[in-house]
Amino acid sequence: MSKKKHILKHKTGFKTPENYFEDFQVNMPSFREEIEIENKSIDSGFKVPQNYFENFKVELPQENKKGKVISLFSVKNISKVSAIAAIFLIGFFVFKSQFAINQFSNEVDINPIALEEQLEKDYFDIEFRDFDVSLNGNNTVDEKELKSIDEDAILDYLSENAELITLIEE
Amino acid sequence: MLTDKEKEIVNKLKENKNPDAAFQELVNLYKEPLYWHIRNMLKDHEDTHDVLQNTFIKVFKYIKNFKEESKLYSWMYRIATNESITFLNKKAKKLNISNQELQDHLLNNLESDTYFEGDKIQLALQKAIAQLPEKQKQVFNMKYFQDLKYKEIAEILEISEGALKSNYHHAVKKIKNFLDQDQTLID
Repeated sequence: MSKKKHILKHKTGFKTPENYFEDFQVNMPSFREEIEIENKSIDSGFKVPQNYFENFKVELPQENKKGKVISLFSVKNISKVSAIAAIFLIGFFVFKSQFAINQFSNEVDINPIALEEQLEKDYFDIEFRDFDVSLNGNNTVDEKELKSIDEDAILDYLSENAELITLIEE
Repeated sequence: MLTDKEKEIVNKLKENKNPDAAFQELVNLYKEPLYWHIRNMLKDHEDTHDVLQNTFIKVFKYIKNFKEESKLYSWMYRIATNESITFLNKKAKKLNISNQELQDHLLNNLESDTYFEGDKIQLALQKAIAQLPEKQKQVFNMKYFQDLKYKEIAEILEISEGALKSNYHHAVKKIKNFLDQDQTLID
């Protein structure tokens, strides 16, 4: 672009302050700081070994001689195996559904009263079993042990534990 | 592509060889054409000064990315154009008005601007230019006021010379019509 472009061809009517272009300066101080900050972010402080980039080579892996790979499943075999697997699967589902139907029909024949009785029996059995457990456990009271305890010791113990006495009185 | 002088400056800046001096040379070379290019778009001197500063800052920051595929001045003009458009959009948003309303606002201020000494004809011309679509406005300003060649404008705006000539032709026609209708302003 030629120097004459600095002068406008036609007058616009715009003017500038006196000596504007002579005094014009780009506001360098703050601007330089901004550039320096950017440069700092680029300069991370990391170093590379001497002549690293000059000697840099990409070491491509050498092609190994590969043995012949024999496929375990050919298309022919896969179709046979799939057919057998399908038969087994169908058989399994048919058996399972038949079993479920039989079970359901058996359940339908159960008398509700008999079921209730069975449940009650189970309940009491469970309670009784719990009681048995408590008797057969470590909490069982040995008669010999009881007799061996001195009567005064028992009275002393009870007098120290007023709550127990209240419980006994009740 | 680049003149010898431009090449010298660009190389110094890219290679960081006395960049301050090289940058000052660049500023001295382009401060006036860029100023007028921006001023024609923004109208106001203070706004123009701010955008000119930003333009040079961007030139310095991104000179390393300048691929030298286009001319240096067209690259700098593009930065200045983009900065000016961004500035105008921001100003319109800040004032909560449309871009066209902003143009009217700038023209109204122009009449009382101490840095505008145009007569009635020049003021009418500015009003006519303000009515143009953005692209035609830019083309007209660069061709009529800055006397840039079509080829140069085409490089700056990155449009074909054919489209550029068509834009300029339509702009001139619209301005003539506007001035004919607004004859009372000139009389």
